[in-house]
Amino acid sequence: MIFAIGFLGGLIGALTGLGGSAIASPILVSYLGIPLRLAIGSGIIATIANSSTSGANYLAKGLANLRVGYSLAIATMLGSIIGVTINLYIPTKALYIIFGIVLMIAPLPGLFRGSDGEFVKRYRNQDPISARLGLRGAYYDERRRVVIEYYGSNYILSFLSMLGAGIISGMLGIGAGAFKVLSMDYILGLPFKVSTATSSFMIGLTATSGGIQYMVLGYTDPLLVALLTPGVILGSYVSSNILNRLTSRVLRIIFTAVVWLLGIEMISRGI
Amino acid sequence: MGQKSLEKSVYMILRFSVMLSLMLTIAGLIVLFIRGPTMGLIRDSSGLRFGGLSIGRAVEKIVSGDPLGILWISIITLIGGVIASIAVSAFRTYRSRDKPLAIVSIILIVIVVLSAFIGIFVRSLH
Repeated sequence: MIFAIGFLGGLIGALTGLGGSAIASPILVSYLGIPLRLAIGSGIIATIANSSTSGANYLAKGLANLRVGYSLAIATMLGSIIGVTINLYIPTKALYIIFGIVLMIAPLPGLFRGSDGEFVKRYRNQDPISARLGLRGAYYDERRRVVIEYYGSNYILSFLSMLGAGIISGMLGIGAGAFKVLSMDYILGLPFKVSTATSSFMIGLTATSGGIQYMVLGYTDPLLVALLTPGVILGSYVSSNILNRLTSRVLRIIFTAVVWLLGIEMISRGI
Repeated sequence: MGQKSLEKSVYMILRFSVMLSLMLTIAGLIVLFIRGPTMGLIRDSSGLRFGGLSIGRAVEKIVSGDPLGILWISIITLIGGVIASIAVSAFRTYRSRDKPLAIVSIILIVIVVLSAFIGIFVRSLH
């Protein structure tokens, strides 16, 4: 049952940009009665496994940018530490409401996103910090058969927005990839394909700092992680390699509606 | 040493840690279902019991050969893979005099250590 929940989470999470545990945790809480913080603390470990698989693949393909990932992971990892600490001090009911709101907001940008290779913002010059960190790169776009060069800029603003993404990730035990992608698209100026791949790689780094904290605090259940993780990885794989090829907008809308229902369920638990 | 070579190293470490972790998970689950669940706070409809495990209890379970100890090691392997990939990046970029990336990698390691210490500190307050 938990494996199936992980699979479903991986499937919907990858398509909506939320990540597997963002979907799996609410289901575990709502239908199996697992306490929210235990689901969060265990889900974040599944997130690391998923990112270490998909993010590493993107790195090998030259799509994820290691420099960008590491440079911005400073913000997301610090944010994650803050997020876990907030999680411990806010009432559980408030945590349900925040989780629900995040579930309802996060899939929306993905619905209106352009096709691969496009930029929301494209820089030709870099700010001094981005230039010093070497936040630039190029990748071969197979569909267009051209090499696309890009230059990241606005590091400070990206850093601050990533801090926010990290806080959400740590507080809810999710990858928060949708927020990371948004920051890289709109502020740093990376192409869609690179920001998606780099976000996937960064999720594991972000979740590591939060995951360690939850482990130390005793909110990680090894059995739950063991049953959840293989399902999440398999679900994400199926979603990325099979469903994404269908690139059906209708499918995305249907899955977004499912996420919204989960969001409403979480909010209603908090009220 | 180029960026490509570093990316390949990071890829290999992450890939290896996930594979090892999955193998340990499978081994742990097999032993667990043969012996039966040994711990837990919550029981779900299938009879499995769940509950958080403190580091102290985890170490006890590892030492005593408890299947949950094996599952715990699989989690540590996974996290260890990410930390090792950052450490390798720090080492290799330092050697190749790629100062910015070396500093960034070292900062990431410091944050990882910080997260453990903050976790211990917060736990002591509860």
